[in-house]
Amino acid sequence: MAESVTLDTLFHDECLKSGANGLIELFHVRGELIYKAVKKEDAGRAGALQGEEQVVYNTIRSSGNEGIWTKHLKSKTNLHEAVIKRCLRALEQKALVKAIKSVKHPTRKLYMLMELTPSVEVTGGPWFTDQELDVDFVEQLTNQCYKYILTKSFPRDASCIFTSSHNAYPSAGAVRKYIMEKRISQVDLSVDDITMLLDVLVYDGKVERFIAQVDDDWDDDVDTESDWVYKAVRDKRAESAWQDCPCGVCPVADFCTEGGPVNPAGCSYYSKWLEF
Amino acid sequence: MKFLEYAGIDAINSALVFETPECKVYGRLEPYSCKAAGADKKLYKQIEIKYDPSNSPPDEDGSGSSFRNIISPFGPLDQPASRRTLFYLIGTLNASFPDYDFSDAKPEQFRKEPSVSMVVNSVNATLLNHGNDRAVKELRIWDSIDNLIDFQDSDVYSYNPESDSDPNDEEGGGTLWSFNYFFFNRKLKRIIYFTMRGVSYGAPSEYDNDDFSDMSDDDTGFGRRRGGMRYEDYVVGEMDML
Repeated sequence: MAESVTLDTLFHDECLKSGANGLIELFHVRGELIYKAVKKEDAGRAGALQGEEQVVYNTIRSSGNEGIWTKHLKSKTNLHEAVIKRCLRALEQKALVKAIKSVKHPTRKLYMLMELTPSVEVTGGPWFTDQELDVDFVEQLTNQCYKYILTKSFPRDASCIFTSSHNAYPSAGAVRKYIMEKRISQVDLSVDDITMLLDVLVYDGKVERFIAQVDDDWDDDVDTESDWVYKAVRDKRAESAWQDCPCGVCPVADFCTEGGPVNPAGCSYYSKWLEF
Repeated sequence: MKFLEYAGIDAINSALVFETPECKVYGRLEPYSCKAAGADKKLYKQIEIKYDPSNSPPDEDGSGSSFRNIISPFGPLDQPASRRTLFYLIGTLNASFPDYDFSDAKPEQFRKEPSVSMVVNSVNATLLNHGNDRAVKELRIWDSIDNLIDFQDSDVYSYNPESDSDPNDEEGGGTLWSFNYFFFNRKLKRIIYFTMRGVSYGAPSEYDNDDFSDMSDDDTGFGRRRGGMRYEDYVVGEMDML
């Protein structure tokens, strides 16, 4: 009894065989089988994997350093939950994949290749320790940045301000240099990290940012990555409602009383004020 | 936690998934026995290490004693019985949502409900407001639950997570309201997990999203922010907007 075998099945079987050497990868994409050739170097690690384990491993590999959620792993591979569970356990035992947690979705089960480092999106970067936002650390750093900017924003004499052509306001790079020199943070912070903190200060209204004045004799040492410089905001006026209302600045307020020579009904300051 | 089979549960669960003019409701009832299975043992150890004061090394400043004072919805956490309850609830969530890991769920995300009857009333009100009295009147779900769990002897707890930890708040948003109740009978060592959520029709279904990158679910505003609230609170919120 001769069995008729389709070309597809033959191809599939051959690929499975070479797949055993890790040279051909198998994917399930929306129900279709996709084959992909693998570079010899990459084939080494996953070489010994069979069938389903290989599919799971490859799908995890394609998620790079973002990791992949088990739910997505299920839909991408179309494998049954019990099968995926078994494969993941086997891959973990072989030290090929590891479970990670994301700060954006702390309860999701994510997996990635053992040798990769989770991306900043997943770990949260320097602001997160063990999946939790290190509020004290962020606050402390932000304060230090603010203090530094404050010292650079106004001259020592508190009643003066710099001229409009003053250009020594610090950029994000300068703030970072200061923070690193003072070793305030134990972890290395990038200019982008510092910019994040400076943005917080801007949104809190403590600091304003603007494009620096460009001089003709541009100093080569200046950080030209971005043109933004930061300046601390000083309370413009200590305003009080008493200043708006005539009574607040009236020289005879104490003397004023109803029925007396100076009284609220006949007050000339009020008449003037209410004459829009 | 071991999932318990119970005749009639399937009928109840199909009655708990239904459509209303404003949303689609997904509900389910799952009975579990408090029997630690494989991964549960690891969870138990984790909880013991985290909350048992005798496990934390004595600190010079006595900060190890800070855990001794943690009053949780399950009682003071230095009592093993309280930690056990936390363990059972987390284990149940892990069993019910295999794609999630609730091991880091904090005790304050749970709440001990004042009485069974209040919870029953609240759920009935929600069902009725969505035009479904079949589950209660015809299928008599409360009788079934009482048979399994014996209300007289049970405590009810609820789980109220942040939206980023909420398994009911799916990617793409759209979850308008949800609840998670646990009917726990300590003597019988049984838990019934009862969850329901209302999803708006406008929300993209997860099958529309071909790009499974974990980075791509963004905040769709309404749906996401409202995910963790109960129906009563959702309605009050709607009224505020009028």
